Amino acid sequence: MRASLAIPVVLAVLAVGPAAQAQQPVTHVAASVVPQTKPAAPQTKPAAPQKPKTPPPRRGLRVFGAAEIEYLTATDTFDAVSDLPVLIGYGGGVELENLIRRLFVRLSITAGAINAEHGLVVDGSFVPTGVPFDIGMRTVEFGGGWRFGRATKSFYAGAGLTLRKFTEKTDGFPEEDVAESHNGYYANAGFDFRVAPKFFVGLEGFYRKVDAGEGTALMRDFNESDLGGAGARILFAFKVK
Amino acid sequence: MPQTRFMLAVSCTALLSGALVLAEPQFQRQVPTVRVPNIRVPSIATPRVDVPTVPRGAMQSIAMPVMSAELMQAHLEASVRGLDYLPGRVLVKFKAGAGSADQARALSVLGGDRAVSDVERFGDLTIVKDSSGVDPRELAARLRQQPEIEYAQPDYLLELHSTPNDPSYAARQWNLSLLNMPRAWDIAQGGATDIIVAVVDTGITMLPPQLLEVKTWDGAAIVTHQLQVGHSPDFTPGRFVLSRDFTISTTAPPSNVIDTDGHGTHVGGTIGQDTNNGLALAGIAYNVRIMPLKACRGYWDIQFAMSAAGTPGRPPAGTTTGCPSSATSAAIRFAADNGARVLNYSIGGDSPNPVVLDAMRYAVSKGVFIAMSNGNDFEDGNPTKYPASYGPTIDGAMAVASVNRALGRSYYSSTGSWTEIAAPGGDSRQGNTIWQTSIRSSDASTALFFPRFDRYDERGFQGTSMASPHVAGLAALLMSRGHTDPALVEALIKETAQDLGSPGQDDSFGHGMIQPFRALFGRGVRR
Repeated sequence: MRASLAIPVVLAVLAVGPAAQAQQPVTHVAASVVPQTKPAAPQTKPAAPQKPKTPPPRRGLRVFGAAEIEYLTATDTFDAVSDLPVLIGYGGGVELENLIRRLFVRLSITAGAINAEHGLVVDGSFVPTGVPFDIGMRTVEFGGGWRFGRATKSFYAGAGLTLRKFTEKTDGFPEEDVAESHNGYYANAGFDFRVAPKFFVGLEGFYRKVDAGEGTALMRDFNESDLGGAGARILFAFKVK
Repeated sequence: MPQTRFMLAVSCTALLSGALVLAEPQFQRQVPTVRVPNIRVPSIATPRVDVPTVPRGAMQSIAMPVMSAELMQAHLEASVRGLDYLPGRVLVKFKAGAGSADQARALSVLGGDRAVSDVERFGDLTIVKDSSGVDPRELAARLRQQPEIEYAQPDYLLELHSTPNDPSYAARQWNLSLLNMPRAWDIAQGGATDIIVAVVDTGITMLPPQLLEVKTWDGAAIVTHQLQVGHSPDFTPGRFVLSRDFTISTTAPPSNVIDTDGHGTHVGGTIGQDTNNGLALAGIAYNVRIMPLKACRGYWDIQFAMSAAGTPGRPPAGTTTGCPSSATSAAIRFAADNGARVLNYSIGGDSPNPVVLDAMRYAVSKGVFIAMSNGNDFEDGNPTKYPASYGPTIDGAMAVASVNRALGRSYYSSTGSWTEIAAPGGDSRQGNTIWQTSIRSSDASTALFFPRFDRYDERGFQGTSMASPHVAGLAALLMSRGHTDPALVEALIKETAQDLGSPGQDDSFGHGMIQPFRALFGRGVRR
């Protein structure tokens, strides 16, 4: 009995491939393809083995919160104004999973800020002027990806579009404030694992490219134009459905 | 294996969380806050500013120092003969290591039994006095041939680079609006009191209202006169520091400085007359301290010296201001040795002047930024101007051209490859001049017998003399913000200049017009 149960399962797994392995409850597969205990009516020739049917994984919805650290591509510029070209952001989003098999789509919003100092570039060196300002970056990303692995532990990779709103604010000098939006794209890859029945923790790496042009200030002086970066993000996801 | 992967994931998560926690303080670092007060530019409607009258009887008269008879005679002869140097004087710099015997040998080429003691020394410069009547240019040429001598030149009389002009319009300080100074002051608030700006010019009267006893000519005889003098009400006396009059002596200049011309007071006013005090006009670096160094004599200085020497009559017609190279270079060195961080030099001439060049190099090496006027001779053959043309060779000294209100080149502003930067200097043909408080012109008129130098008006001048102090004022603000290297100050001013004329650096505007706000504020990531 045990052996007869195992054979169709193996066949089904081979047919579906590794993508199915993670999600497919074994009992479902077994129930659908287990042969009847009673043989069917006699046939003139033995029936060909039925191709096992894998029901699509259940669609689901996750909401998540995220904290990320991003090493900005415009290294010289951000290194000059803030000593470290790094943006720490917080945010969250939603993820529709298993839209088509293991395909998911995700919408996320994160925001980060940097305390910075104005300055000028003289002979390639940054000279701070002592006038502080705040940099803000709000990032909206929409994209999708594919999960590999099981329901409890999975790896994923994806890509999508990035919309980044960039702001500069200086107390007392509103005419110097900047608010720009730039488009780009991102790619990410990571893994998550279930730590409680509906609660997941994930870690992913990402790369964003947001071409903003040189502008008229320090990015121009340093010959940089990318407001994106590469970084890592930790996610805390709750499976709503 | 799954357990291993799980542990790996947990470890990575913990590491990342730790990194986040550790990284956080670096993003929270505090940058010094800039206070943003509301700077109120004082009304410019006040046409006349009087120092409160002090009754004559209440004041004790002291003798006003005047230049020596010998020096006065040299100035007079230069005026009469139309010379651009003082006759009977050659400025010499001996090479290092030249001893007394070597110097005596070198000077012997002038002929006669000239003793090395026939000289006056200050710094590493020697003034050789000659009464033979030989042209100093020829004497200097002979001396330059001597192996002990680094250079020799006549004591060139440099000229002030401005032309007074009557006002004909109401918007007086368009120059400060053009430079967006109110916003610049929001950052630098008039500069710091520990920054000293030296003004090498006709002086800025630093005495409180008082009487000075002078000899002068009353039309019939030399008489003793109680000359009324007093500082501008738009300069708090406590802001003056270490004033000196080098027109009287290069080696022992007296500390009482009287501006008998008005040019120095006007220039000093642009650099930093009191501001936001509800009185008269504004200056750029209105909190810094001012070092008035008189190196240019005016008509009345000659008159008083003549009368003191017993010479009857008045200076010859056409006697105007003049600035001996010996006096200006001594003033530059004095400023450098006594704490000045910025120096304005609205003076120039047409002859190469290694004496002044040396002094400027010395000053910059001591941490002094120098702004100098570019020259006003565009329509007079546009000759190469000195020391302006030395500007590009000294990182930390800038030659300043003049722009008018429409951001065009002022019609008089000299042009050349030496031009480094531009600032408002006025243009009477365009109907705009630079307004500052200075001595009342009618009180100092050469038509008078008894002038007075204690009453002040708002006066409109034009010239690269007026452009240069804008740059000096900006440099003082930058120094106040911690940019203390003269070469860096120059670089910041150039970097933030508004390009005018042909793209990039050009002969008319150099790198363009100064932008004080941008230089002080800097740039952000995108703006």
